[in-house]
Amino acid sequence: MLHFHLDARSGVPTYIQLVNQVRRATRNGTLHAGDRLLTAREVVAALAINPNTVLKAYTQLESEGLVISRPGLGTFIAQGIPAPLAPALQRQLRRGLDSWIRSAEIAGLDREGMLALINLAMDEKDKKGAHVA
Amino acid sequence: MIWLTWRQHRLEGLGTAVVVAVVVLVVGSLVVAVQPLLEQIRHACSIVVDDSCGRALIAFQSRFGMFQQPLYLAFLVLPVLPGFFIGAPLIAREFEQGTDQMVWSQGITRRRWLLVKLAVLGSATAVMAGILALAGQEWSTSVPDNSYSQWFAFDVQGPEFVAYVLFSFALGVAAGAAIGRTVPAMAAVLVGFVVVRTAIGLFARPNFLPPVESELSGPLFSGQGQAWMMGNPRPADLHGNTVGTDQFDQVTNACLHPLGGVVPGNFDLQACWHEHGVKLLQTYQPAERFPLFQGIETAIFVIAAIALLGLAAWLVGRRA
Amino acid sequence: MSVALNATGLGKQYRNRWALRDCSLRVPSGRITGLVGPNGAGKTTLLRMAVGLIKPTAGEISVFGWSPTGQPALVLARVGFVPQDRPLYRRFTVGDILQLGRHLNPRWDQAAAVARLARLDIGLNRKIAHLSGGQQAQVSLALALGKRPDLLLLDEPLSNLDPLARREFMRALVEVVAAEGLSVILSSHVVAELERVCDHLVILNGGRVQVVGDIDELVALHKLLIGPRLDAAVIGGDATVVQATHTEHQSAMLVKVGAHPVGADWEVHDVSLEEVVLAYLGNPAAATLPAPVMEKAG
Repeated sequence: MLHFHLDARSGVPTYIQLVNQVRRATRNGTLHAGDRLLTAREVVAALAINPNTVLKAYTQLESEGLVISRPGLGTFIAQGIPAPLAPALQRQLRRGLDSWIRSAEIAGLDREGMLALINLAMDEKDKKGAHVA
Repeated sequence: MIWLTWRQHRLEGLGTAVVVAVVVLVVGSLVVAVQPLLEQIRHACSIVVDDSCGRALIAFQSRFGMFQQPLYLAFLVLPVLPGFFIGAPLIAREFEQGTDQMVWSQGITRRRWLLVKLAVLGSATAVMAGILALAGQEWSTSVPDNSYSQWFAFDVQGPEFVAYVLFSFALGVAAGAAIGRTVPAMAAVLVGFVVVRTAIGLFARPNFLPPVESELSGPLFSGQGQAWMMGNPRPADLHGNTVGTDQFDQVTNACLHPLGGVVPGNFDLQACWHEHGVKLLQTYQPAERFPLFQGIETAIFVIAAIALLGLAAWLVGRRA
Repeated sequence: MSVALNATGLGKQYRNRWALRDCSLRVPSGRITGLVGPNGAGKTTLLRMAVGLIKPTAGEISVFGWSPTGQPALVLARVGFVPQDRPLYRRFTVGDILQLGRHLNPRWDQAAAVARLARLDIGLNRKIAHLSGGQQAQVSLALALGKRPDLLLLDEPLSNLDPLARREFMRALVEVVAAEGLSVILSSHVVAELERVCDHLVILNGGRVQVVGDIDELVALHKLLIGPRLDAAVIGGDATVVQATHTEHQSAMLVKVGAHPVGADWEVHDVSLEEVVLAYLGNPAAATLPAPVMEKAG
């Protein structure tokens, strides 16, 4: 069972944060296909947020094919969610990543700096994604 | 809404009941205690042969005189209390604490809220006042006739007493609605009640009907029953024109101490005055007018109370 | 969109001052709408008129189509109100307050009210005066909800509450919204309080409506443009300037974007809801009408 948390200061809209947390959970194996997400009422009670926000997040996840909602039963992680990364794909991504890290080191960034830059890029991408939603 | 009225005011209600009970108890004990002496007085003073009447009255005064004044004052003050403690906070406290916003956004109109409150509290107050009025009446009849006439007991008994109480209550409610704060409303009740009661009692009441001026036949105190004597007697000639006091005293002296003799026991002083061309006139309200005057005073205060409650209702509506 | 509250040209005049003037807005049902503005902006006046405690001097207001002053019985049966400072009779017990609600309202769910307070560990025998501020707030909320309203109005419900009590109050509120689907309008002059819980916003400023709209869309439609010192006329596109601040070398404009993009000279930054609200409050002349895009079902 995934418990959500909220970073009120990040500037990322609440429903996007919820969507991201579900995505991450399926990626790193916290959630598997068929697992039930907390009901909207449970999330609302836990976080004290607007119920429409939760519904928005779950609707977005459903439109991405990540979850399926069954009226009366709940919202479940869909079958056929992206499996953990295939080794070949992982190697390819790692090559690109290693070369980027080298460029960043030359530019003078340390580990913290690189992570900060990555977070910034991800956040901006998420906010842009909010407009489309 | 009746439940709410009771729940909100049950403390004041209990307090009022206790006060009324205490007064009834005090008056009751007093009435019981004075009966033997009262009998004695009635017997001794009906046939004025010796000074046993005077002695009995003095005995009464020495034993029970100390209670009369405080009790009288208590009855004068009691009607202020409902206005002070129940009427003034009724609307003012709701405004002060903002609870009017809370209670008038439940499913009740402010008109109905006010109506039920006034009806319940008004009737309860009237009943308590009625009990006190009866107690006052009992007390006033337990006082010897010669010390007090019924007119002195005007303010402590009868329907007018209930009217004073209702007026005080209504004054409190209206002051609270107009001022919106409890303590200033209480002050307004105090001042307003004293002013109006004094004005009506001192200036209006003697003139509800034009006073009568005539000779009082027979002995000056009894005979006219319990008339309300106003001012001092006026010596006059037989046509009613005022005559000098000296002249009148001379005549009286001549009548009571005739040359060469003593006056007989059944001497008619009044006839002697007439022989000398003078008479004594007294301005008064006749005894028979007592119930009428009670009715007029009651009507004044009841109408005033109704007007004040109407004002309060209008003010409450205007707050919207 | 179904409408919970509809105001047209609404105004309230006191002696020589208009507390609310020419107020026209429609608050959708099924949402939690925040009513924001400085003290004296008219938030309390608007809420009191919605529940029928005040009569308008001008214009009209209707709640679910009924007039609060013309049809008070109908409106009071459907609208719950938590007034400013959450007044209660302090000598009453919690149980007495519920009895008050039960006696004065035609419809009353005693069991649900009792259950709600039991969950919060607020005993029915306790005197109101002995409860903490947060607990008193919960009792006020339970009283307003006891009649099972379709619309709940709250006037600065979080004032004078410590942070934990605020969170608990909001939690209780959104829980009941999730369960019952009722519409809510709550006022505050603290934007941060509203952001977590509201999805719709009304900005009142100086007795007038400045902004009405969906919060996510408001935030999306406003941007901060930073560029070299220039006047507003040269922004490009069809953005409307809400607030412009200039330094010696730089101009920063908070704008509402239009259909066309702004000039390429400008850096475009996102803004938070608080910045949007502050920009409007600081510039009373700026206003935004509900755009068609906000009318689609949320």
